[in-house]
Amino acid sequence: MTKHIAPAVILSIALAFGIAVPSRAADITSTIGEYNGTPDFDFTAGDYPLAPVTIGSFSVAIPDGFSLVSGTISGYFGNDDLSSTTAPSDYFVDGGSIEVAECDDEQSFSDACDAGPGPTAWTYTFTPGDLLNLSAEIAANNGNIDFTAVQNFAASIQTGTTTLDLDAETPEPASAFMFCGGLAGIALLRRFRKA
Amino acid sequence: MKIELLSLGVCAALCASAPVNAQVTPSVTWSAPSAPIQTTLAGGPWLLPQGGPYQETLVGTPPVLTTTTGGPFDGPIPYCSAGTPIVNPSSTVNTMQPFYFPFVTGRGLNLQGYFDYRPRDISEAVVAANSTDGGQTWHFQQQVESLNTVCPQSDANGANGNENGEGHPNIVSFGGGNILFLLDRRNGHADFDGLLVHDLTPKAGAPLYGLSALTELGPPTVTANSTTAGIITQWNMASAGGTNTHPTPNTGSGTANPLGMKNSYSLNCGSGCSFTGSVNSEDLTATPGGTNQSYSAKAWRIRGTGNNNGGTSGNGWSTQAPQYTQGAQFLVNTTGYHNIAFEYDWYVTAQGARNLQAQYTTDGTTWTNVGPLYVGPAGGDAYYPQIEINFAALGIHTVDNNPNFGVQLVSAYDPTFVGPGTPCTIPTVNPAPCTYTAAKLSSAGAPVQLNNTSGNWRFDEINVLGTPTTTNTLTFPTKTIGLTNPDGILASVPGYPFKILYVSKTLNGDYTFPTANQCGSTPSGKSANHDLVQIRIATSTDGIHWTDQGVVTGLNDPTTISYSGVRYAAPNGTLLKLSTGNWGLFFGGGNCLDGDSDSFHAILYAESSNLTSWTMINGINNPIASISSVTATDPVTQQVVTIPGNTPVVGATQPWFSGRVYGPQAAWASPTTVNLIFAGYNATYSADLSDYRTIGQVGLTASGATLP
Repeated sequence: MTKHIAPAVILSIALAFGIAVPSRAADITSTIGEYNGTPDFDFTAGDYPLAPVTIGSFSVAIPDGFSLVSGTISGYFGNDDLSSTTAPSDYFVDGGSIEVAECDDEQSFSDACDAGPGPTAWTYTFTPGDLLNLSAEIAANNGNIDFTAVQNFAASIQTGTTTLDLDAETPEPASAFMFCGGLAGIALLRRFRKA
Repeated sequence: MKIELLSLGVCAALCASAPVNAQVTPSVTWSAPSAPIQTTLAGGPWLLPQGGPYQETLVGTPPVLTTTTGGPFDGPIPYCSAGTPIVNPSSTVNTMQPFYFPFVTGRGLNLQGYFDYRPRDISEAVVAANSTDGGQTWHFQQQVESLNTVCPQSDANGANGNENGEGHPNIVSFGGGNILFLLDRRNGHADFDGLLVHDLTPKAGAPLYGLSALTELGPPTVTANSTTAGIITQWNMASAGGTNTHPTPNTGSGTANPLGMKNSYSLNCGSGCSFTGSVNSEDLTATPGGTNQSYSAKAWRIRGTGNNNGGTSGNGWSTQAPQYTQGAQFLVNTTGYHNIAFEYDWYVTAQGARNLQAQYTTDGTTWTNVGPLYVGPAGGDAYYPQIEINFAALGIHTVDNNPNFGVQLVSAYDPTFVGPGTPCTIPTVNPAPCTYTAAKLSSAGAPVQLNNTSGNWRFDEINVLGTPTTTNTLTFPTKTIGLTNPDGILASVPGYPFKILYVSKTLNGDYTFPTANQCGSTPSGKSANHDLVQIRIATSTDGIHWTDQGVVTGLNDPTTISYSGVRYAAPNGTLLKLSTGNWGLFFGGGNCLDGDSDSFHAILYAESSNLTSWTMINGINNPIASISSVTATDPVTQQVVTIPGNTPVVGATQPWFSGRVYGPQAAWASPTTVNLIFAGYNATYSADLSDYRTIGQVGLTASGATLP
């Protein structure tokens, strides 16, 4: 009886380990509150775009050994605080290298970022290349990612709450551990059977 | 044969099933699940309920008003405390009076409101308040652009009254930026000048942050010097001069002279009455009101001797005088200054000449018209405070740095007069009608010829403003350019460039219409109104310079005299984009029943696919809301009609909007509902100082389309 119980227990532990380890994935979320820029009522098109402004900074802590595997950033053109729209503008992370939203086309302004009676939601999904760049910025910038905007025409930049949602994992160690654990369990089972 | 018949039958069936007019887009049908309510305000300025109940005591036959109790002066909570207007704590909640012309932004239950606060004959201001229940209750946030901080001297405050400040607040938004437009309601400016333009720089909880607490339209007080823009010369008529003495400036230097009061015109004024000639009899006389609110304020009166010079001389003002030869002249050396502006208070007695034209000179001899032809306040015996001629804004720089600069304010023929124009001095140059008329109109509301025996003009608070040439530009309140006689913005189209529907109002503009297209007196005997109101469309890239795109059709007909028609339309409506692709528009309208062009008879609803051609869905006879019904003989059909002919959408008229109802603001609440915030007056608003101007709210449900 003991001969059968021992290998089963070992196998169960090994499998349990193998299954538990892949939960070493991190869901990293950071938000920036509503932003109300300074109104600019100069309607001379040649005076734009204005210099970038920093809307806020996301605080990101990636656990040691983890890597970014996916992520999104989402927010609103306009907010419930002062205005449901925003000036024609572009929005960036990673020091301006990744454009995550735009509200640029003056002629189709209403459709682009003032589609409804309230703030208009937008979402951007990071590409694998974006994630590599973000990882580098996080490392170089003490875990911070600046969210910036460039105003392309008159009025005022108004944004709602902006959320950065990143997924990080430790993919290779976890699967290897599960695989090795499984192999070790099978080996031990055979050994008990021989015995 | 059977096959042919079958084919024909199928074709017929298909044709019959096809829409007769596939282009017809169904319109929205509105309904109201519950009756309108009167809203409340927590905190903020003095409110009418704090002064009530208002009562008048009439004595004698006919009854003469002797005393009043209640109201802003001696009500339970007076308008002022310790000499300044009160500000209520947030715990003080009353009905939202006297507010009107709401402008509302936001959605759902959270709304931001901007209101025209206008206690009668006391003041006017823009007040911001917010609501968290869809506009049923409001919470005071800010009060700006107040006309004054005076305290009423009586409940009616009529002698000292002034409520003509900045009104009709309307905001055009673009990309998070907001521009506030206001009507310069001062006499001589309203419905002539452009709308005042204020850039909003809101902060959380302070939507009007950065705007002036008091209107910028008050008299300037800073004397221009080597580094400061301001007054070059000012006549405040406080003490200078005296009887038959030209007033001298209290600030700076300059010359003021009456024009044309010494003359030899003669007239036969009736049986045994004739006058020959006149000599100047100017003086400074107590004329309270206008810009200077002091009870002892004096004004410079321009007139001839009247019947005081041996009983034979005239009043000075004469229909025989050539146009632009009678009035007052001001000469000021502007050497060292540029960006010149001229401001003045003009007072017209009831029999005084009705029309004033300003002229300027750069050489002391040649005079050129500048600015519009001003029309005296209806009835006369009233001020037009601070009429402004902004030479810099008009692009006239020949008056800069000029030792021979001058302005004269002279009487002009009334172009609306349709009676016999006698005498017409130069018929080929000034085709009839070419005569002067009096400020007081006939009982039918038409101009009447100057009587040559009485009436005068008075002037006060004359300011010549400028900037020393060594300093920057003098800044004046910015006004729109390119809008035709704007009374206010009706609605703005989302997006950029800016596009608006606006109310263009030409005062007394329908006298040129055939009589059949002019209103008569109202069924209650009120005089006819003669204003011309059009809804026009305009575009702009900066909110200041506008390009008028012409008149829209279908919203009102300025020529209709039908009691079922819509002759007038008011500012501050709401434009909605519908799921059908149409635009929906709520707005206030009125007609000849009202004897007024303020367009308060009913709240109406129309739709359009292109913003320029409109179809009325809820007109005068099936309105969203209406004042009390009126039964009268329609001037077109000669049939007795009851207006409205159908029960309004919101149900029975309630007392608090039985006298006026307009300014509908439809705030999006859901894809099928809006919260409608609007203005109302009770039926006795003209007499009851404790009950007028209020804000209402009602929910409306849409069917036939959704609201994206």
